[in-house]
This record gives sequence, structure tokens and C-alpha cells, in this order.
Amino acid sequence: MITISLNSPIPLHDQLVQEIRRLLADGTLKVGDELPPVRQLANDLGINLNTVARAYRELTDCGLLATSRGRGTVVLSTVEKTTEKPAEERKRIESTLGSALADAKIAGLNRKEIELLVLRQLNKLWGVS
Amino acid sequence: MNDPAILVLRFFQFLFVPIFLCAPLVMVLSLLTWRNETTDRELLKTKIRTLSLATLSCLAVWLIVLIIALVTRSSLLQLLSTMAWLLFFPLWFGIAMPIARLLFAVLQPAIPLEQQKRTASLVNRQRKNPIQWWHWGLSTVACTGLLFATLWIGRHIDQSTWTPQQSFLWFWGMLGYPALVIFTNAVLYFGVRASLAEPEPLDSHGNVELQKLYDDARSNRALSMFWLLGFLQPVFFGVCLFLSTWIQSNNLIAILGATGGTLLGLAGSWAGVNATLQRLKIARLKMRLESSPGQ
Repeated sequence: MITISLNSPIPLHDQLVQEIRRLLADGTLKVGDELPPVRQLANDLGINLNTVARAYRELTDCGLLATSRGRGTVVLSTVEKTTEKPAEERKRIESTLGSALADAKIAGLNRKEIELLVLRQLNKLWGVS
Repeated sequence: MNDPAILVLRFFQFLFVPIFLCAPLVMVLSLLTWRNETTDRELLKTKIRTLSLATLSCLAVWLIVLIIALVTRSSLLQLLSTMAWLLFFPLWFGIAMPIARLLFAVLQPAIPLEQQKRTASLVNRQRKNPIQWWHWGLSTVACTGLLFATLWIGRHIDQSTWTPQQSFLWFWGMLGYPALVIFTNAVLYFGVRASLAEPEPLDSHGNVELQKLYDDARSNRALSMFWLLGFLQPVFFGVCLFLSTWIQSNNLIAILGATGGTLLGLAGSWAGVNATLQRLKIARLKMRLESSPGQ
């Protein structure tokens, strides 16, 4: 299922992109799985058709989805085709992680709680080690 | 022609088309008492005006064709004027139904504007079409069988006793029946596709019971549409055409037509009531989930 929030400061199409990426990462969506048509998803979420189309296009550009006539939009890969160099990509991810952890600390969580949160996410994506 | 029964029949034949054409407007006007403070009155007014104009245009077309048919004594135009009742469908489904939906807000599948967290299913509903290839196959075999049976019986009985009108009707029936089946099936195909794409907004937690209700309602809706419009109706018309060619008894055909038409109408009403009850069930569950989120 895809969930978006109208209250969120994050633009709707970015929320959709994040949701689909999350579903790809946690294995809910696998290679070859079909996504709902743009019109259906837009109707169900009560948002503009172009918002969904833009999100699908962005994910298609990343090499995660593919759209073809007759088959609709399908998952092409669960690994992004990146234009950045691996070192830069790593730096970007580290910076995003750093911001999220800083947010958690400012929100008043202690080290143990943050570790638990991180572990839960790791288990969700790679399974319990 | 002095027979009062024939006169009554002619009178009802004459009224049949205008009654059908006016029905959507009459039904919409009778529903107006259901409007409340949430109804968009401006939009309602515009749509009712559109429906009134469309109804008047259809009546004008029917009347013009009928007058030309009477003046020129053209059987084809007379038949066309009788078939004008088919304009009921665009009037009803194109204009009157959206007005009814506007009046019965509870039946609308729309998402409440105040719902900030929105959830949608990842299933492509076009792939969950309950109408399989064998449904279409069954309908095609039945209709083709009836068409060939009518053609065969028409070629093998003594047509010399037929009046020119009977020959004319048989000839046009043989052309009109497959055209009607193809037209109905095309409308049905796109109608079912549109019905599968109808919004199915979930609650913020994606309640399983709600998804199951949507699945059942969608499947029942599509299957009812198929069995009524894609099978029973064309088979019924085919049987009438076959018997009218074979038996040549107007009384029998009239009884069969009235009985079959009534049964089809009752089946349609049952499907409509059933669909409305399922919509109400969904609306009630959604209201319950919205009042106590997290269930």
C-alpha cells in the first residue's frame, strides 16, 4: 500500500517517490511487479494525475521502473542506476543519515533508542541478522 | 384498425419512446428533495439544465424522424423512430447518473477533503477483471447460434405467405441484431473498464475488511453488467427474432416480449439495488473507520 500525507511539507510527488522506493527496498515490490495505472492511483489518493505521472517518470529515469504499452508500469530493477560516482553517492547517503540522526537527537531520543530505531529499519530491509 | 385493442397498442407504441426519453429527467427531478446543504447547487442547476436541453433535443430528433416516416411512409424511418428509445442510455448514464451521484453524497467513492493521510492499494484493478475470455465466448456462441438459426429458418420456410412488412422486418432484423450485439458488447467492454477504474480510497491504515468489500462490490458490479447486457439481453433479443421468424404469431411474440422484458427489468433492478446496498455497506464501514482510526 502507498500512503501519503497532505499535511507533510514534502511535495506530494516526492512522497510518492519515497514510498515506492521504500516498497522496493523492503521487498514489497519485486522485479516484474506491476504498479497501478496513473489514473487509478491518482483517483484513489485524490491527487492530480500529473503528480503521479511525474513520480513514475522520476523513478523510470532512475532505472527502477519501466513503462510499456500493454503492460503498464512495472518494476525494472530494485537497484538504482546512478549517474553519480560511488564515492559521491556514499557521501550523499551519509549526509542524509547524519541529518536523520541529528533530528532524532534533537527530538530528545537517547543513543539506545536511536540504535533500536536504526536496527529496526536495518532488519526491515535486510531481515533479522 | 377499429379494434380497440389495436388502438391501445398503437397508443402505447407511440408513447413508448417519449416516456423512455423523459424518464431520466423525471427521475432526477423526483430526487431533488434529497439535496442538502453539502450539495453544490450551482453545479446541480447547470447539470439539470444540460439534461433538460439534451432531453428536448432527443425528443425533437425522434419527432422529426417520426413525421418524415409518416409523410414518406418509409418503414426504415419508422423503425428508426422506434429505436430512438436507445437515446435513453446516453441521457441516463451520461447526464442523469452524475446528477444522482451529486445528490447522494454517501454513494460517492470520493475521498473526504479533510482526510489528510491517504492510502491506496498497489493492485492494478484492470488485471482483476472478473469477466474472462470464456464469458465473451459464451455470449458470442449464443448470439451467433441464434443468428444462424434465424437465418436458416427464414430461408427454409415458405416466405411467399409473408407480407412485405414481414420480409422487410426479417431482413432488417438479420442486419440489426448483429449490429446491436456488437454495439452493446463494445459499450459493455468500455463500461466494465471504467467501472474497474472507479476510485477505491482506503482508510489511512488500509483496512483489510474495506478492501474485501471493494473487491466484492467491483466484481459483482462487473459480472452483473456482463450477464445483463452481454448475455441475457442479446440472447433474449435473439430468441424473439428467431421465434418471430419461425412462428409468425404476433400475440405470442408480444407475450414473450412483455414477459422477457419485465424479467430483464427486474433482474436489472435487483443488480442495481444490490450494488447500492454494497456501496452503503462500504460508506458505513468508512464512516466507522474515520470515527475510530487505527482499527
